[in-house]
Amino acid sequence: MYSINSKTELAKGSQFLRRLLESGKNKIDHKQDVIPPADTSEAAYYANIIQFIPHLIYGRDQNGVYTVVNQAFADFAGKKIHEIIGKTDKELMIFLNPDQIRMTDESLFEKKQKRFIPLEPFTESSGELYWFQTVKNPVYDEAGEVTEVLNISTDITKRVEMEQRLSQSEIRYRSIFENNYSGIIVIDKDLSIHTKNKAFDALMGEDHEASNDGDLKSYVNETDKRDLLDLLNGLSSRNYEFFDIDVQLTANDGRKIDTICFVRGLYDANLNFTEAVITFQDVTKVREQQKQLEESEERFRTIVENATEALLLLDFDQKKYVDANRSAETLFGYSREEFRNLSFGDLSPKGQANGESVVLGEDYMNRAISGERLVYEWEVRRKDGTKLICEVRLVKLPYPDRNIIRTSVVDITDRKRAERLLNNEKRKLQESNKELIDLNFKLGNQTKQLQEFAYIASHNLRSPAGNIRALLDFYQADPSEENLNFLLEKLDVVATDLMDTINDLAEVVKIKNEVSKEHTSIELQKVMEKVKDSLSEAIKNKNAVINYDFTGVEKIYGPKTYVESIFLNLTSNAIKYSKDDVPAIIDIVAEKTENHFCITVKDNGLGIDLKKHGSKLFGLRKTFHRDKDSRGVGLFITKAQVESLGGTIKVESEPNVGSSFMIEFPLSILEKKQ
Amino acid sequence: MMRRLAIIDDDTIFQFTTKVKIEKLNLADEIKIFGDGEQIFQYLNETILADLPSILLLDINMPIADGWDFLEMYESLDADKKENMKIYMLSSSINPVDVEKADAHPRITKYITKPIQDQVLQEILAF
Repeated sequence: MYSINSKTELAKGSQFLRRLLESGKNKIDHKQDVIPPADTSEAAYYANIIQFIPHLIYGRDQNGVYTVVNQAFADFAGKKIHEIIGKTDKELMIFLNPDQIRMTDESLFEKKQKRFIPLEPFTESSGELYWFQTVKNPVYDEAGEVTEVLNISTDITKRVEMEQRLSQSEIRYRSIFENNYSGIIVIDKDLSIHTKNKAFDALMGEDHEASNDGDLKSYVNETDKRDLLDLLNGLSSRNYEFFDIDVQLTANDGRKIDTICFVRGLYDANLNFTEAVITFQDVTKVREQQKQLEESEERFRTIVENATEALLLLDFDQKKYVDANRSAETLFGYSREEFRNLSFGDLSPKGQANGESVVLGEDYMNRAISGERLVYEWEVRRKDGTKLICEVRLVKLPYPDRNIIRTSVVDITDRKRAERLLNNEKRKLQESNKELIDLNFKLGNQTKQLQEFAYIASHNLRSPAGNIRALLDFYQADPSEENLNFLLEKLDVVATDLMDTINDLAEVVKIKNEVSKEHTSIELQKVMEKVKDSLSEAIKNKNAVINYDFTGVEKIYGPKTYVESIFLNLTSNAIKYSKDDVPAIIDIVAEKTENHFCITVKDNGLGIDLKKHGSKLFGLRKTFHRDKDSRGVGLFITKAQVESLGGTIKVESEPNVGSSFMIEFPLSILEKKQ
Repeated sequence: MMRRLAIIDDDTIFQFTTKVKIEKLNLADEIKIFGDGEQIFQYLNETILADLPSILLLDINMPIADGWDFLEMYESLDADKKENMKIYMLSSSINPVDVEKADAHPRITKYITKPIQDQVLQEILAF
């Protein structure tokens, strides 16, 4: 309204104001505080302005008596203007702190200087605290003495309260900032750091107390720095007020820290950019995990993609294939996209070896869903209609909310073919191996037999040769006629013996040589009839009964003469060594067991003490019964014949009870040779 | 003292020629002949100590009881009868099984291969 620049002007102003208010007094009804009808005078005009100005205007004299107040003051005091004029604060009880007010006034009377009090508490009589900003102007008289103090007070309570609230809020935010787990910094446009919180220093591995504010540039690489500066430019020109960016920070110890930065611009009242707040979120671990996951996924993907086996993922609920690898494309001839439109049945022919494809497949899938890992052979149908024999494996994959079955398919057509070939080869090999073993066994037997034969031959020929020598020595020592006759007589015996021996041995040699020459079908019944025929006299003499039954096996194949000879020898032995007082009963049984064809000839005859003679029973020139017409050749020949047919012969016997001769032939004797 | 000898062999020609040879060489005073192991065993069992042969020429291959059978039976003979008795095993067998078995047998003094040489007879019949 006006300015007070000097004492003179002040005095002038003060007087003007007084006059103004006094002149206005007449015009204004203080009792009613009603604005009178318009007074056109300049004084009344200004008085009105002052009266209704919102600032508190009031004057007090040296005694603290109010000399002038405006309506705003009266309103503040809660009184009428006229109730205030002429009274002191103590009388009015407007303020609870009148002494303090008085002291401030007094300083003005002394110092005679205008004072500005930026913050002045007024405690109203109601107890409410108000804050005022007050200009105190001394009013001078003509003598230049201060007669009163004119105050103009502005109520700034609201502003003060606001500031307090603001301050509290700042503390709160400060606290949030300081104690935040995220690193927060405040930077300016060129990235130098103004403020940073503990978490930021912790993130960078720095001592919060000791660290300087520093520069964000020293933590970021060139690329990130450039991006950050570009974005900050936009922020400062308010193209946007915030942004986020991935930044890799390098800590002092060299650690790389991946962060996501949230950057918000701060602006002053004129919307000029002042600084930016950056919040860092450490995503290093998350990124690492993500990277590992991606790598692992990539690895897995590569494995799956390059697997030689065809892999298909089947959505069990929709019965559709959801994914397939390259091998699957090759195997089936469908592309990955085509697979997605295929259901399980499209990849199989209607039937499998053991049933309908759909029924079997449904069963397999249900079992796979219940956790079973299945492996089975399956015929698949390719896109071009051709079929392949495959090995299929089903495994349910651990998807939490979907039923996905991993189907692995391997074409085993070649393998099957190879298996078949291999099996054939194996069988052939086993057969030839068996033949070799048989042959080897036979060879071993033959070698043994040959050796035995050599010893036997040597032994049996040496004896007569030695005897001839001894007889000749005897004659030469005393060549009388008598001795010559004796010599000739004895030589005759030796010659016969020698001839017999040679014949016996020749017989055995013949058996060994001729076994494979004759191979005919032999009816056992007929063989026994022939045997009985040739032994008819002995049977009659001994009252022998011969029982035989060949209903199980009627026919065998081999050299007929041997088989007849074997039956003849065993039967004639049984009759020859029967008891004199008991009729001979001979049982001949033929039976087929798992691995052998067995013939048993059992008698109730004299029996043999096997403890004594067992080992020699089948030897040449072995006899065990005195006075019997035995040369010890029969069983020797029989054994040779049985062995030449691949069989074995055993005996069980008990003296005075009887003997059982058991022959075991290989089953091949029942088959006609090719 | 009587030089008593027993030949156990089923070969009659061997029996005769050997007996003649020994008599001619005058290697024994008494020669007894047996056809198999059982016969000689019975004789040894029944004969008094003073009349027993002190040397046995034992064949292996014989009917009824061969050389080995006899050796088994021989074990049951009175110990004093066996004390001064030597057993020579004679055989035309060159089967090593027989030779080894004979060499290993504690009762057999020696295994001799037939035909038997005069010189061998003179050696073993030195009473």
